[in-house]
Amino acid sequence: MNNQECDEIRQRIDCLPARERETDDVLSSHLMDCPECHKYAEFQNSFDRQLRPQLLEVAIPEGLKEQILQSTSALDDCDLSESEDSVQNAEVEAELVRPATVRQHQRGSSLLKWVIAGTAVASVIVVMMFQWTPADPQQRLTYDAAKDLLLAQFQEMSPEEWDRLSPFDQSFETLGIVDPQLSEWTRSETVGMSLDDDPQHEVAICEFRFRQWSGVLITFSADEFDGVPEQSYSASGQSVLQWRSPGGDLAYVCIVEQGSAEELLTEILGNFA
Amino acid sequence: MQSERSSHLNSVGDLVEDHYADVYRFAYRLSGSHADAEDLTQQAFLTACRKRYQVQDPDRIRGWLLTIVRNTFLKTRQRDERMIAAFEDVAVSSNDFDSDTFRFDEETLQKALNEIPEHYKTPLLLYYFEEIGYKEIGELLGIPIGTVMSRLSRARSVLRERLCRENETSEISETEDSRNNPASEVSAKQKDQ
Ligand SMILES: [Zn+2]
Repeated sequence: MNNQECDEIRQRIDCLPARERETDDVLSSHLMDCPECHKYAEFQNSFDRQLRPQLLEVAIPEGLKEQILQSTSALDDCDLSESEDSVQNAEVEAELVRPATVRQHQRGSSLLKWVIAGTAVASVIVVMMFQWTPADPQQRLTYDAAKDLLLAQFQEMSPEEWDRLSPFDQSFETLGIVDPQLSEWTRSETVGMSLDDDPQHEVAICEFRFRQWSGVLITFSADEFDGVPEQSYSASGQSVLQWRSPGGDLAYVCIVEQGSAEELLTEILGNFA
Repeated sequence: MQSERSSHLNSVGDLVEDHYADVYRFAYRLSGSHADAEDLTQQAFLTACRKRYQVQDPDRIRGWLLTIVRNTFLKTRQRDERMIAAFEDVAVSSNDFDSDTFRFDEETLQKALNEIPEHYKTPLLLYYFEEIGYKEIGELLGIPIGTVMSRLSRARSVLRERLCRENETSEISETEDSRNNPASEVSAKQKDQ
């Protein structure tokens, strides 16, 4: 037996950690009736048992811990939320990190970058307003739908404009666990958008609901954006809010589809007080 | 409020003490170089220290640290299209699961990992390091779970294929060695390259 169901089962075996494979009902019922997949599962269990310890067996260089402690000691006591510190820390990092073959996205003129990024995202917003169907944020926003929207707009813009956006790729860090101000927001699954076939995501996008408000939230990297939260309007008059994360690493652009944008702005400003 | 959040995460010293070894191991498996792994580890902790007040769930700190390593790594690498295309073309046999003992050496393992492009390798490493499945990996990396499933499954198949093939090769070599053919192991490895 080696049909599509078996292929799906084997992919499931590949994608679940060993402890979950043991308790997964879908797997259990298939493996009882399919000796080939059963054999595959046993093989994978044996393979994983032997591979994992070997993967973790990496000798740690002597003195590494002390080096890290030394380089991070300056950061231990300061209030890390202050932007001045971020600048200082960036300088510390610049000195400590060995120059590498860095991707072409250098941090150029911050203002120019923000203007370009803002323009790019604002353009996306205009397209989205015509095409977006508000959905329950609990439902998953499909990658294809989000990407189609962004790519449609991307084709009308100079690719260099998108290229100037920093690689983002922090949708988990930002929206999943670390941004306290978004912890109360109900969000659809975040879709990381890679606009130029690069593995890094320049933009992350999701639908949200927060108390009486709902809409679309776009997140991208904008370390240099030094703006306070503000409200603007799209070409067709829809409210758009922009602000940055408390750590200053990310910029948010929020299309408010339901609820008063002014009141949401006040709420967001409260987090900055 | 700030200090409340900070209290979720221990001091920088504790953060380093608790996680530096795992972060380094992950960085080494990802980059394939001890020098790069040292840089990545240093850089990741600097970034993590700046952002540590933002962490809300202390149980997920290590996964969070590993994604910082990965993001830092990505910033230093150009995407290698040829490597990706070559990897995606690798044929994987689907019906040979008899072996239950693998004896791959360190060099073979890291060589096999080095041939896996980053966006396949990161889910694979997170799977083994964190012992998490496709849903958690998708959350960590911010990529759709369907994409995680296909990448993880592909990465695991190719790695298994390469390590088992290597295993078979070395078994054959040993058999031939025992027949007084000292050149056989070298030729098997050369053939593989
Ligand atoms: Zn089956």
